[in-house]
Amino acid sequence: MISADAITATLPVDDGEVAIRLRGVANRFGDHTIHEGLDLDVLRGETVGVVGGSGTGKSVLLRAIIGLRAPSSGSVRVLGLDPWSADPREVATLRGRWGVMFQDGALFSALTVRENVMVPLKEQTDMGPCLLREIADLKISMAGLPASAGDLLPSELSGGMRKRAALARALALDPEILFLDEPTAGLDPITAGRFDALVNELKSTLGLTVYLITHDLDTLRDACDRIIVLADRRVTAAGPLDYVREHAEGWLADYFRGPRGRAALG
Amino acid sequence: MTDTTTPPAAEMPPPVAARPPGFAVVAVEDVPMLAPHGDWTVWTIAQIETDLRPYLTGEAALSARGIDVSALGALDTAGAHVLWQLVAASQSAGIAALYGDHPTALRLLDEVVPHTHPPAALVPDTRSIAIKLLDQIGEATVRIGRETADTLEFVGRTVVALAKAVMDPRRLRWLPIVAVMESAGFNAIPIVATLSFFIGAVVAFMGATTLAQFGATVFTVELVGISVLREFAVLLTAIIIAGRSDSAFTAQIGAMKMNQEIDAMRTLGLDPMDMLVVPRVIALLVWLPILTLVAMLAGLIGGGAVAVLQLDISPTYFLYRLQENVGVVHFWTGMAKAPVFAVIMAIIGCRQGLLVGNDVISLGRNTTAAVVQAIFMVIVVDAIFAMVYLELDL
Repeated sequence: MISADAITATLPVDDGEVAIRLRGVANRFGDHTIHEGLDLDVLRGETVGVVGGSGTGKSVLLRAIIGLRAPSSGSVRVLGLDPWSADPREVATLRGRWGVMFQDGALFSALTVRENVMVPLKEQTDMGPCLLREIADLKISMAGLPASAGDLLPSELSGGMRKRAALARALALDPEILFLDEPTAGLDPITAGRFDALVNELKSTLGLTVYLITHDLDTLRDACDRIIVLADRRVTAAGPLDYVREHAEGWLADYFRGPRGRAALG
Repeated sequence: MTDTTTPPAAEMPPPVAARPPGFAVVAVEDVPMLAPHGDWTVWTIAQIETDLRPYLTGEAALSARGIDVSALGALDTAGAHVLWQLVAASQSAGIAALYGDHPTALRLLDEVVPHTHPPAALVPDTRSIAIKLLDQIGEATVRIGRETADTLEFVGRTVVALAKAVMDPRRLRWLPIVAVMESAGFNAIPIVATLSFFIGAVVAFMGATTLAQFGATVFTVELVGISVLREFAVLLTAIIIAGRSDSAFTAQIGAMKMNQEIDAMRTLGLDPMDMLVVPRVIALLVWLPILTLVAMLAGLIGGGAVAVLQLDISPTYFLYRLQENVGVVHFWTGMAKAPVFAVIMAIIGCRQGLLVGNDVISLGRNTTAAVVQAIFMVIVVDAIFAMVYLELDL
């Protein structure tokens, strides 16, 4: 069994043990190449934090994995399934098994928080209105929001509450993988710390695989099993925080050894 | 709830081949236990929801003191929630016992239990229909009153900003003025001209058919001339611009508001009235008369074309009658309305844009309101003009 302190981007394990497997992924915008020959394995049940400087394509890679922007070439496997499959059933199955939280929440602004959480439940299951409401309230509460927040519109929420509401929606179908895009960006340190703790708690109780993009060194330290570093169009380093930090070069060295890095990591 | 909008091909199959859920009450070591079997997940529990409902709402109670999970298949938070509700309803206090081995049941129940609230009862609205109706009428009346007062206030602020701009022309922002002129004015020429041409032609046709019964076909010229110059050209232009450009004003300013650009302007010492409202008022003030002129010409050409091609009136005679019997006064009575309409529409569009809140719904609502209010006001003011002209014998 490969432990979660592996220090390579690819791991010699069966498809059944990996949650995300990328092979030779390339992303191009016209002549501009973002990724080339990118390989990555994410084990089931681990939390990986993806870091990289601006323009290294963290969001582009995420969009390729969750089926929003097709990679120019290469293969993407999530839970052994292809999010770019031609078979709509395969894609639909996959969509029920992951939850995505976008950077600014991407809540439907016309719907209340409860209705937002009910959207995936309503669309994908046959639950009656009472059960829908109960399950939605359960998720809202699990995401750390007070029960009264269910009746509010997204525009009436603070930034931190909006992120929690988005997390509640991402958790609606009890996903196996949670994708979080900058979950703590724009939050005050205390709220951000609580969010990290919440992700940890959900991960340990629900056995989630978490793929999160972040710049927040505290999140990397507190919530991530492994760090994935994107640079030079591919994964240049992978491993536990201490390992990646010791072997950091270039941008990464500045990132860890700058004043903020020292303050966060000591 | 079956979703009818999703095509069958995209219907979501349960991620894992699921066994249907079910439950029974069994005695384990003489203690009654709830014994669930099958998979209890978000994908499957809908199948037994109708069986569960009486227990969840408290209409019926299980006499179970705990949960025997030994026969339970897959479980997730939704399933754990329902299981807990079943047991919690049967015993008012105390911790339910968990019996048997299950890889995740204990962990999931621990996670879910603190977050499970008793289902909230919906409070029905018991007021009679008459009271509700009165309530709505009252609310609408207050809203109209407030809306009118706010609009007048905004008109005042716009006038002040315009006056300042006139006193000190260096305050004017030429770049946005010219940009708005192009998009809201110049680019509207083709649509205004085309529609006005057709209106002119239609009026000529309709008029000619009726007038022919009195042998007065030739009066079609007067009909087209007076109706196009006095009313149709300016009204049609105003309505097209309300739909085409006023909505754009609201949407642009509203999107800027949502993006906090208006706040950014204020903090940089720029007045949104100067930056956004004044350029739009000036642009429409200049371009609505020009577009009205275009509409007048196109309408007369449309009417003239019908007269020449269908009614055997020569072009020269058409122009002669136009000059002799219609006269320039109708041109000016029509044209005089254009700047008034321009100011009204620009102010309504900009105001609705600045009223947009932080959500997409208000953007849509205010854009609709801008177009509706603009057309409404244009037609009301047109009627006022008609009455004033009548008194003045114009």
